[in-house]
Amino acid sequence: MPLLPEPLDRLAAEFARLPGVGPKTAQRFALQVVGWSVDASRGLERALADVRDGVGRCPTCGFIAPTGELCAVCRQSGRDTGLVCVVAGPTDVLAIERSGGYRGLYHVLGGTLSPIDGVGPEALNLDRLEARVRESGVREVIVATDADVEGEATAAYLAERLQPTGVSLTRPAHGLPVGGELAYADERTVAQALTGRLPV
Amino acid sequence: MHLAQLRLFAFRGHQDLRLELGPGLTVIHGPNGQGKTTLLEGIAVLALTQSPLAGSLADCLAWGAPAMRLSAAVAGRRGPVAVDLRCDRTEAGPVRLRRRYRVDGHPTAARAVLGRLRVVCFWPDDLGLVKGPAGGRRRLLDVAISQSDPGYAEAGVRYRRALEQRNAALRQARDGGPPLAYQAWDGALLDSGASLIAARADFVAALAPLAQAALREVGETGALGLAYRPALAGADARAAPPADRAEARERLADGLLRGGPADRARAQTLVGPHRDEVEMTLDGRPARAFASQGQQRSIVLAVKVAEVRHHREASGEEPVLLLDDVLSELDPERQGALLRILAGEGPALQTLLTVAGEGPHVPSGARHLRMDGGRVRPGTGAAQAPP
Repeated sequence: MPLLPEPLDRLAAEFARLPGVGPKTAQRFALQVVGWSVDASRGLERALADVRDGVGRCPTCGFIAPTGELCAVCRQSGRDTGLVCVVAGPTDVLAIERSGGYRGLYHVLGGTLSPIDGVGPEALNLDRLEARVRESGVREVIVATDADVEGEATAAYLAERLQPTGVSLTRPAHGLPVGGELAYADERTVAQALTGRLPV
Repeated sequence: MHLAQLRLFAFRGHQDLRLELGPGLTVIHGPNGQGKTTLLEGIAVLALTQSPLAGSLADCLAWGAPAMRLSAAVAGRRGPVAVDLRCDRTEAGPVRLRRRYRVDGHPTAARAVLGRLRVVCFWPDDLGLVKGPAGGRRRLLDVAISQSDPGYAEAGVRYRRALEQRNAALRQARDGGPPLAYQAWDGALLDSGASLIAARADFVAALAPLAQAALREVGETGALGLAYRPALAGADARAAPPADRAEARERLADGLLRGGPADRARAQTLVGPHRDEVEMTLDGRPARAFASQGQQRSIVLAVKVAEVRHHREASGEEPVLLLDDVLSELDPERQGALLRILAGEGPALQTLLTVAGEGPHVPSGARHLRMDGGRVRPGTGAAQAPP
């Protein structure tokens, strides 16, 4: 005989679909919902429905946007439309925006190349990027995918794809963390930082 | 350096083994199945951050246990260091572990553990090093270099990852996927691969004269040659080692480019450090074909002795030598030669030698431990009558 009522298991299974939530955590979440007021559960229901119906992808850059509309970045006036920063996912846009140091536009790929997981070039938002570069006067593409093996390969593939367009392609510098101590940095970081050194 | 204390908790058959050890030779006696090999494996796991005997560390978790823990106190030139690995079983399903390393109590990445405890391992399977597949000879390089070059293990991880992805892309190209997408992985493959090749070239160049000298001490008269043969150009696996990392990168790039058609045909990357070879010759002729069984064993002994001496030369510290039931595989002459050489290495070298049954004659001055039913106590156990 199952110890817990069936609806609770079902709710836990739904929570377990979220990233970083294992079966035990999902069960803890589900148990937390027991005894919620009608208002509280309606609030969650409504929030889920609103996201489902009202939030989608920006048709230009692939960042999160209200359904059928441009995202907040693409709509913002004063952005440098000749500069496009390519990132793997929406959280990367948020990280760069938090820095406050970037005034160009974005392009969200929706992942990185990973043939092991069956993710090839066709699964990424690349055709749209190529069209953007060809059609809307982009002069520089910053490829800001991660520095891991998949991120580097995606950057290499992108460079190959965009090279015929003649657009300038750059990659963010890798180096020592600001305020960090040299002695505590790992070898690859130190090597990269020395290769990419700047005049004082 | 030497291992002063060891604790193995829920590691294979050891529920909670605690051991105090000193420099010099320690002989561990006991019948088969009492955990002698597992003891050495546990030490190797702490040194190498992976098991040289199991495919996955998950295989080492005691049956049904939720977590295992390995701890060692290492006495070295720069004072004592505590190395600790705790592996917790993650939630339901097949056994997967979450690993947490600590050095002197501080959480650290696996790569920061490498080099804290340096070991040279000698398992019975190593006796097939000369005749066996090239993978065994590459593993010898990887185990030795990763303990002295912190960037090497990381380059190895990146290389294997890029190689796996590139091969998957090649298979997809064969099955109708985008034809040239596999080349996107070449950059990552080149950067990490060049580091591996350059480090291997340096290591073999340093090891060769040491092994040559050690072979004479083992009692062989022939001249031993060790040569690194990087797989830099397709089917031509006999390439000469590059002078430096830049040359390695250039030649690997060239090899990948030329190998493209062959790679596409086989849906597999055929060039690169994963196909490297270490050529072993005796008097100029391939040892795998021309050396006798006995000579091949002498060569393995010489290479292992050279490995110990290389660690000493490179770091100024003694590694810990783990000999698993190796003596029983050798004839009396080679047993004697190995023990004589070890005695000559001086009292600072810590050697842990496992012996099943009666065991061969071991020189006086060695410390004897007996392992029985997962417990360790002093003595050989040979002279003790059953109650």
